Amino acid sequence: MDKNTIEKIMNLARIELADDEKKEIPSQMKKIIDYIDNLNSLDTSGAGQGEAVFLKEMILQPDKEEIFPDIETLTSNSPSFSEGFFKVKKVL
Amino acid sequence: MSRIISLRKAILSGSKNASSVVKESLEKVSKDSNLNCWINIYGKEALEKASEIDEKIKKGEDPGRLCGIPVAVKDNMLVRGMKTTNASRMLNEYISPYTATAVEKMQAAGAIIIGKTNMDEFAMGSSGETSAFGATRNPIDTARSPGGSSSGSAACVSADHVPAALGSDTGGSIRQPAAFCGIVGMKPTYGIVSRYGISPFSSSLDQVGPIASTVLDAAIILEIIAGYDRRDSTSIKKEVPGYAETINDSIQGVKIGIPAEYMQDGTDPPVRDSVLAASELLEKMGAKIKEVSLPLTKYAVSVYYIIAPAEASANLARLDGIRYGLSADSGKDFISDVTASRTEAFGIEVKRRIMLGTYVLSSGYYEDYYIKAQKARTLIKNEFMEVFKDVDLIFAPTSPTTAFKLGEKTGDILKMYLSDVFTISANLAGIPALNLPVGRDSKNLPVGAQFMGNYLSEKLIFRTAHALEKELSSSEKQ
Repeated sequence: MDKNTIEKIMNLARIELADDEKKEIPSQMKKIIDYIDNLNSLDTSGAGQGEAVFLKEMILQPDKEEIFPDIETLTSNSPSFSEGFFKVKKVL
Repeated sequence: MSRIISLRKAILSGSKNASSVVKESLEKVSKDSNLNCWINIYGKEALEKASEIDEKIKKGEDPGRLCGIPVAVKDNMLVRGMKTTNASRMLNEYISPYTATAVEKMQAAGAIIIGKTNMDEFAMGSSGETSAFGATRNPIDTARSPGGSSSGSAACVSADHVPAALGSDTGGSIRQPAAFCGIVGMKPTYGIVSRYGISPFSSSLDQVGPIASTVLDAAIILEIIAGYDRRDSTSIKKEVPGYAETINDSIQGVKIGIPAEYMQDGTDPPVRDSVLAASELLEKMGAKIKEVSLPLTKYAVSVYYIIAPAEASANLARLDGIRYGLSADSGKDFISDVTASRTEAFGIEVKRRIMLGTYVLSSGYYEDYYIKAQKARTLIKNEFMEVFKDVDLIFAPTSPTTAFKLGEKTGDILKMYLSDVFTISANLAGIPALNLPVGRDSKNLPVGAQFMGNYLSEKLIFRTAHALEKELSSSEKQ
């Protein structure tokens, strides 16, 4: 787990690490990954493609509009909701 | 044998009223504040609900099966108008805009929510110590962990603040704390309790279930919260059987397997001894005990720590500080604001798991880790199905140890993860499992054992656990 890999993961995960976390987390992740590599000794050739293991079917809903009962509380949780929009900084 | 039934009887007969029961519960909660098992208490609202129940009873209306029973709800379940923090700085101020189906059903049955309980942050932890609100303490020995992640729900039932609580179990988060706190905890078959309104951690593993002081109480709660819900696409369309009505039936001839892999050197001798002694009691009651083998158990932790972080990294991506949650201003652009919010709000365990999940899903590693783990998960499930051709239930330790000391494992994260080794497989396979206290070690700490069964075998699990619970309590009295 080199520095570049950690930087790449941090960027993908949208997480920065503090200096002490930068020391701690990569070495812990390496330890965990070394451990989970024991899976390499398991022959999984008879296991299909790794699809959902026990769900026979996924029940889908009709794509139908429903009115949410408490829009006020829902939007009050946002620090930046105004005039029907979530306000963010310019993206482009 | 049922706290719920005796309290309900007392309330209906007039020897107690719901208001006094709730008041008593709130007094215990405030007396035990050192346990830190609650994040937010809703005393005023609880007392208002209690007087509504008392009014209903006075008018002769049906007050419900849980009328006036005070209950606790893990703080990853939405209750409209109450905060749902997930024990995270991220959601410290989050107000639930709707109620989770499982909680709604409890309320409809007349249960009174006293408050929301402490937990590991976003349910990621096995000791209750990753909470942003501080660790929960085990009521049996306050220097020790109550287990996790449903740390507060288990501790408050064990401390008798309430007779029952709701927890969630992704890799053992109901059963392991129930084992550490000496109470009953049930992770049902995946899909029988709706996950609607439960903050998702690892959606293919998460399941809501009861934590209670007796098997019968857990059965009563599960009967109430189970059932099809169209708002959860993984909900099973099956009628809920009466778990409580057959709970006293005989267990004569029930075939029970003890998996050799759960009883080896990695399991503390007092835990092994208690489980073996309990299996002898089961045999005495007419069950047929035999040794079985689940050799893939040694891969369970690896599979879990790929799949659960992978799903968590996707589920927690929604926490960006825009629509809800802590919002930090980076002073730069939009993406930097999202990163700053997440960096400031998440604790180290959540960061570690999101990063691990992001890693195993990232290009170049996805096949080697995630797909490999999904295949291994299929094999683990198949292995259980093979064993269930031979036996009706599996009986095994819930955890290799009794409650460990707070701080004992925080320095060694792999050691912490390995403490889940016996609970994880049931989640990976989606099968039901129930923890029952079966003994004490030399420090007087409770030992928990779990019954695991095939899909939808909750009825048999409750019946067998109830029989053993009765037998254990009568042999204790002798």
